[in-house]
Parts: sequence; C-alpha cells; structure tokens
Amino acid sequence: MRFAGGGGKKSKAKPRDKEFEEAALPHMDALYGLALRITRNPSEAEDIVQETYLRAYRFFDRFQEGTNCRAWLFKILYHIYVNLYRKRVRSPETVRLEEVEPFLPQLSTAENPTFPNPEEGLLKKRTREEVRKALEDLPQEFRVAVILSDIEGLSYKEIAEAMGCPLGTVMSRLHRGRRLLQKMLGVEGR
Amino acid sequence: MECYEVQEWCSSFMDGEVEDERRQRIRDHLDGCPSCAEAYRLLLEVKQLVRQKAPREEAPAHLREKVLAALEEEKARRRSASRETAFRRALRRSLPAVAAAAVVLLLLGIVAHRLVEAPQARLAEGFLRAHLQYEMARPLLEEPGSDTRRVSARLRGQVDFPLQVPDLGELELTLVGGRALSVGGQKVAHLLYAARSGHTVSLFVLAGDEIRLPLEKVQQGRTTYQVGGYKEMAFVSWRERRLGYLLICQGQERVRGLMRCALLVQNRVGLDR
Repeated sequence: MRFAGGGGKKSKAKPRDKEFEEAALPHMDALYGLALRITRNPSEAEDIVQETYLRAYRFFDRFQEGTNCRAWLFKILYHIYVNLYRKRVRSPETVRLEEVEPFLPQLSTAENPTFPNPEEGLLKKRTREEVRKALEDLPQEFRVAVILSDIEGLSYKEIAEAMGCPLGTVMSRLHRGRRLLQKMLGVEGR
Repeated sequence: MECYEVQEWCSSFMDGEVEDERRQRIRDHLDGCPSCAEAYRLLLEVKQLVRQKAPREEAPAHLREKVLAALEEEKARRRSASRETAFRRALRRSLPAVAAAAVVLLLLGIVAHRLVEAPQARLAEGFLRAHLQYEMARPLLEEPGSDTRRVSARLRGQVDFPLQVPDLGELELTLVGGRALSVGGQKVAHLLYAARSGHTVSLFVLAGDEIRLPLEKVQQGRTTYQVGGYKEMAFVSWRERRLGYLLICQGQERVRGLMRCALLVQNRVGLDR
C-alpha cells in the first residue's frame, strides 16, 4: 500500500478515517459517563454521544495531534449540550448561586482553634450510591467541572477549553463544587 | 498569606494548578496552621471520594453500534460528495474542449444544412454562427468596452455605413464590445451586450436590404419585424433608415424580451442621431 507520492489526495483519506477511529472511539465510555451525568437520562446521553462523534469526525482536521483527544471530545460534547441540546429542553438547569453561597461560610474551619480528627475511614463508609447522588445534586456547571477534573483528570486549561470559560471560573467552580460535595457527603472536621 | 486566602487556593493547590511561588507560600502556611491544614485534608478527602467511588459509566454495547453506523453513513455521504466535486472539477477542466467540440459539431451541422436549406436559412445560420462563436469561444473583440461612443467610432472605420452603437442600460444590458464581420459576403457590425443573467445578446447591423430570415413577419407601426425562435435561439430583425438590424439571444422563449430590446434599440438610435 502506498500512502505517499503519486497517490496524493486519494490515499490520504483512508488512513485519516482510521486515525480518527483509533483516537476517538476508545473514549466512548468517558463521553457517555459525562453525558449521562449531565442529562441524567440514558437515551438523551446516547444521542449526545452520537452527535459528538459525528461532529468530531467532520472536524477532525481541526484536532491538533499531540493534544488530548479526550479533552477535545469533551469540549465538543459540552458545546452540543449547551448550545443545541439544552435549548430544546423545557427547563434548562442553571446554577443558583443563592442556594450555593450559604453553605460556604460554615465550611470554613479556620476559626476553630481545636478540632477532633474526623472519624477514621469516613471515606470508606460512603457508598458509591451516596457519591453518585451527591454528584448528581451538584449544580450543573460545578458538576461538570468536578467530573472533568476528578474523574477524567483534565487540567484546568483543558477544562476551561471544554467548558468555554476562563481559567479563573474553572477554579471557582471546582472549589465551590468540592465544598458543596463536602457538605453533602458529611465530610466535616467538626 | 491569610487563612481565607489559603483556603480559597486550596483546591487549585491540591490539583497542582498553582504556580511555584504561591505554591511555596501555601505550603508554608499549611505547615504552620492546623485549621487550614485540616480544611485542606478534608478537601483532599472529597476529591478522593469522588475519584474512587463515583461509578464509572460504561457505554451500552448498542451505542457503539449506533455510533459506528452513523460514522459509516457520514463517510459514505462524504465519499459521494467528493465524487461529485471531482466530477464537477473534471467537467470544469474540460469545458474548453467541450465548447470546442460543440463548435465543431455546429459547423459540421451548418455545412450539412447548407446543402439542403434555403438561402434565407443559410443567412440566418451565418448570424447564428457568429453569435455562438462569441458565446462559446469568446474571441477577442476589436473594440472591447462599455463606452458606446468609442465602440461606434472604432467600428465605423471598418463598416461602410454610419453605425450607431445604442446604450441598452435601460434593459440592464451592458455593452461588452463590438467587432466587424463578414456574413454572407456583407460587412456586418457585431455588437455584444451582456445581460445580468449571464447570457449574451448580439446586435448585428448591416447596410442594404432587409435581412431575409425564415421567420414570421409582424407589422408594428411603420416597422415590419421578423420575429421568432429558430434553433433554440430568439431572433428579432427589422430594417430602418437603410440599415438592417438583427438581435439574437439564446432561448426561444426570450422572443418577447428581445422585442422590447428591439424597440429600445430603435429608440436609442433615433435619440442618439
């Protein structure tokens, strides 16, 4: 098989398809996981994943080799959700700051001069179901930031790109999201 | 660094997203402040909880099938689209050859017709050929341009009659230029106008008797017009002040439009005189 030389344009198309499949298809579980956590609805999640792959295929030329393909796919998925999908849904979910803020002051332990060690093994006592539920109850934008960082291991820069927001916003979404989770999961030092 | 500041940065610190200098200051603070250290520890615990216990979702098997099928469909669509553009590209590349072949066929056809058709038709063919030759091969014009006076002046030296090149802007026809020809042994001025639709309207002017064409005669006012469609073309011809005029454009259905054009030519020639 010849990929270079005289064949030029024609021989280039096939390997590119293969390259796409090899780079993108292994991330289907992760994409589905994110879509499911965003929509909380398996069939909607499937639709979004499928659309994500179609778009990724169409725009694969724009994917920069050597960068994180998974992060790029998340970006497409989130874009589809925010710009195309959420608009179709009747009541879009929004982050309600007034519900979020009151948690924050009491989480600060800075004023407590002494504190008992939290029960050893608290971590182990929380069931998967509890963690899933707590994540699910997190406001949308906090939840996506936490998933991309803690479950998917994306850098802040990658998260900022995926969510289309500044780096500082990623920082505050993560920080607030984790503190909310801390409260919901009863991970407290007092 | 103050406690509140350190706690604001805890999350980023934990993720390794704080630059070196601040990182060191946070570390120093945590080392000396048990309450911040505890807050940090709790945050770390949350992160680990999520990392370890959030269930990892698996895409259902049928989703993989669906995605693969959708991708195949997209590829097929793309392949057929690229085939189509390749076909178009090839067609565009070979357009001059196609046009040349068409001209050759046309000429052959004309030769064949000459043997059997009447002299009238033969004359009509001569004009038709001149019109088509321009439409298809776009030969260089002796006097290109949209300036009617310049084209008039230039062509007058080549035809032996007082030619006037009319301005047909009212019908959105732009003068492209003109050339002198010989049709059926007669000197003819061939003026070319471009319509907005992209087709060309030819106006032939010659001295002498009316141009006899195999067309219907229509009397309107003092003028007798020969009007009609012939070989997919619209023709309008008339005689005025010892000059014969003939308009040709592609599409038999354009006879009406060409008639309006004829009236405008008469008008302009009268005006410009």
